[in-house]
Amino acid sequence: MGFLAPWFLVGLLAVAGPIAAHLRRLSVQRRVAFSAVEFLSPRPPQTARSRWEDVALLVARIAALALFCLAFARPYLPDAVSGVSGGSVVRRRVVLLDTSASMRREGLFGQAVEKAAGAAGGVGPADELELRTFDRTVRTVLDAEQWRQTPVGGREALVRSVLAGVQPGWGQTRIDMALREVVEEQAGRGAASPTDVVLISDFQQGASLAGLQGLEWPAHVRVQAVPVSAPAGARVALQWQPPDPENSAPEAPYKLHLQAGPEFRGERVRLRVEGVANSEITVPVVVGKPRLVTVPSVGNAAARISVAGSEDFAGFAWVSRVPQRRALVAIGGAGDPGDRGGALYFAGNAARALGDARVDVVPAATLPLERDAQVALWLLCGGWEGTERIRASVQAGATALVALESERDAAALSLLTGEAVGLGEKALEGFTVLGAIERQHALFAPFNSPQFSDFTGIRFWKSRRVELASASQARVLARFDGGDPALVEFPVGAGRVLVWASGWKPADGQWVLSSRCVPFLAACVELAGGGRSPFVVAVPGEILSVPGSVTEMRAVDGRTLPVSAGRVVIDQPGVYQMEPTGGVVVVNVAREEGRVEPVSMEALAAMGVPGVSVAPDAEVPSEAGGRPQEILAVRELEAKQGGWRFVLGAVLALLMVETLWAARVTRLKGATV
Amino acid sequence: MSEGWIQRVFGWGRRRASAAGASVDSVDGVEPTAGGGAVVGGVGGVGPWMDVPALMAIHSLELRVRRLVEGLSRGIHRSVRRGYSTEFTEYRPYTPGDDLRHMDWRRLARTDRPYVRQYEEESEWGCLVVMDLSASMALGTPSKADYGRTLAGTLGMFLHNQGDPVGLLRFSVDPGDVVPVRHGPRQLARWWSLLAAEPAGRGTGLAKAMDGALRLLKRPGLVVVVSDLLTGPASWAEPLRLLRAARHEVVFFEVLDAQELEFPFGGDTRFENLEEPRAMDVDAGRAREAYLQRLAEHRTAVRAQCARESAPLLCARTDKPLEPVLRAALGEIERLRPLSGTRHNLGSRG
Repeated sequence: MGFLAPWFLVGLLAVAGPIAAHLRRLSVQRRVAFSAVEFLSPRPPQTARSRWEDVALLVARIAALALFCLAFARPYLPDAVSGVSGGSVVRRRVVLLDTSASMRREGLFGQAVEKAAGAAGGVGPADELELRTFDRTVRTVLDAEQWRQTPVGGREALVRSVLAGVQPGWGQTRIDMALREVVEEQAGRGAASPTDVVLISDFQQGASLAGLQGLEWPAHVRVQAVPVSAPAGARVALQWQPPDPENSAPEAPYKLHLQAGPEFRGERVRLRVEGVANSEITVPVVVGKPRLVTVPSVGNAAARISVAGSEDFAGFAWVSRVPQRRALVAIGGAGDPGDRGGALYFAGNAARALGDARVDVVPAATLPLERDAQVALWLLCGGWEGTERIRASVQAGATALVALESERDAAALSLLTGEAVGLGEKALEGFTVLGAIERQHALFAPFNSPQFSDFTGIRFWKSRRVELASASQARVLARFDGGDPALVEFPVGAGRVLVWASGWKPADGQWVLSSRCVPFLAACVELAGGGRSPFVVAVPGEILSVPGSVTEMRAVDGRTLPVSAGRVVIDQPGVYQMEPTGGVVVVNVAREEGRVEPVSMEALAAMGVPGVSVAPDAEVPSEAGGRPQEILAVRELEAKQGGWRFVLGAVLALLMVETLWAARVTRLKGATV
Repeated sequence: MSEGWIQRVFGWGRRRASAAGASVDSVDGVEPTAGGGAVVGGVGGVGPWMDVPALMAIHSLELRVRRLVEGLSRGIHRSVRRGYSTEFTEYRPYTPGDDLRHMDWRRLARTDRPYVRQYEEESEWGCLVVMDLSASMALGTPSKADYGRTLAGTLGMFLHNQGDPVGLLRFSVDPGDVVPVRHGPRQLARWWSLLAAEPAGRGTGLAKAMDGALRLLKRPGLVVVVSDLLTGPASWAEPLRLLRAARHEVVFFEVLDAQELEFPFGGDTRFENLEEPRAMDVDAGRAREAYLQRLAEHRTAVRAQCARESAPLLCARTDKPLEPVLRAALGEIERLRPLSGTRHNLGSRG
């Protein structure tokens, strides 16, 4: 049995009153010398009956008092379903430790680690703890199972050892993603124990919170925000503005955004290209106002430009030139390329629009076999030939883009992709447009800026339904607004097959005539390692899609990162070369991460984070400090059981019995006086 | 003569004892009780009176008594007490053996017959104070004994100063030491030493004490009994009747403590009898009503006994001032004092 308000049990001391009165009654209270004793009546002697009656009355009074205190203490019985057991709740605490780049500021991460250790120290022996770090991604460094299996005495050392291995990275702060992951995990647990999330971060303005909007929070999850703060410093943030890949020249100067923080004193800063003599330049700055500066190119493929004298995490930027290379596009398909209503005509024109300097467009039918290895993109418009040959090329790393002209292409497509693909005509009423699009995919990278990201103006009159096998490896990159796949990516060997579920002729839709078609083709070429060498600007921790032929990434300092299935994650700023096919990935700290001014907690509350509260700077939430989930759970349980009502009823019954009994005893004793 | 000044000072009407008893109807500060006695009450018109604690703070009984006597006598021009009476009443023929000093020689010369002069003497009215100093008188603060001995001493001094012979009989279980009824300069000194004794003894021998008083008083006089009168009245009814039969006036002072009258006790209490070694465990709260009822019945019986013998009964509470009860007592004494003394042939005066 537990008690919601156990301090009322102190009232049990009141039972001493009846006991003292009873004992006092048993003994003569005082002695008095008196003269007229002969007029007094002696007290009737104690009989066994009166003694029994006195004891019974005493027991009734004590029981009434004790039950009265019990009722006020609000008793409840443990309930395994609700997670409340024997007056305590098995709590779960998830400590989220920010390891983003902004935590690299001086002294900040040390504070955060101490707070995390303090939060872990406040967990009860029966409770659970998970320790996670987050920036763009969430990593569990100590899970609940490991916590449970560790003896209570060794848990503090365990936490300390785990935290000793944690260092801040270069990633962007994604508070929304970290919290969302916890919430979704809790939601999946069903009837879970109360969970308090201790969020330790610098809560910078650049932290992403947008993902919290509309999140359904389970009732048993509460968030405790533990901010850490760094002394204000004279910060100057530097961000590289990547050049336009299509119009870049090797000798073009580097453009950088420069912004001085509020504490910066001065009017100028010095920028220098590291490792290059006499490269230092002085540029004026205005506090709080971003400024675009240009630094002359030093001719290197990669360089690190930094603010002289600054050790800030955002006080440097890696820069690179855009690599150049010609690619081969082979166009195949049934029909006359000169037919102005046919797909081949428009596909050829779109491919040639990529630019003679970058690509060579050849008909697939006339392409010699020995040149297959040079093909970066196979553009197939239905009824194509040489599927086996194309598949071999794709497996070697090329990309095949198939525009489905009819459902008759199903067999060839299945052969090309290596898995059973069903096709069917989709009956459209009027037209359809593109709905959901995987904008993170490299194919849609050219459209990430707002002015190009709208695909809803492109209408499709005809489309084909692509039916994928249940065990298909395919990935749907875009869907029509009805939900049917519009663009599907099949990984084949080192390359990929992209299936466009509509024909590339104006009778099927506006796609081939739209302004998005050519950039899309360029992206396909680049994805295949053709045309321009891949040039990717990324932030640390981002999942990058690279051509399938790329096996590893090599940093300028010689470090290498393995590439798996065309995907790689780079967690440190720098310039990386794709090996062996060439291409560049420039990784810089996210611009948002440079906004280090603290955000108010109201912003978290405004996002619907339940029970968000801020722990005082000097305190770390502990078990005794406040357990709102436990209290809520216990209150709910106690209110549901309503035990105090029964106890109070028993008190009233006892008091009634005691009153009647006492009246009877008094009457009997009074008669003997 | 004495009636006159007392009447002037106190303004009391002189009333003879009625056939029902020597009751006091009403005096200042003294309320008559149903049995003809009086209970000394609060402040009356004569005050202000010295409160009991202040009075009892005077350690010496003699000083305390003098203080009270001065207060009682304030404004009174005391005359020299009578002593020998000199008022001529008649002549009678000389008979051999008469004192020749009372021979009226002028009448003998005129008539040649010897006559002696006869005078009416206002006789001396002796007062014997019977003081109860049994153990029960030790109750209270001040104790009933202190209160009673102050009362007795004041009366004794007052009467002594008036020229009355006064005596004292102290008793507890049995009659104790005695100061004979006399008038003299050293009489009071013997009083103080006798009254200084502490209450003691198991029991109250009031009947024996009254028997002793009967033996001590050779001539009709005044017997003042100062006691708590907690002894059953039947036990001293016969001695009282004998006293009254011997033409002695008897005045009772019923000295009681507030604890006895109000019984302010509660809870389980062990009452230890002051006069007996046994104790009694009593539920005081519940026993109070019965106690007060029994006490009232006892006091009613006492008052009835006193009324039957025309003996005034004055109740004195030890928490009330002494003056009212003293004034009431003096009033009673003056009321009881014989109007004329015994006719004595003291002989003729030349």
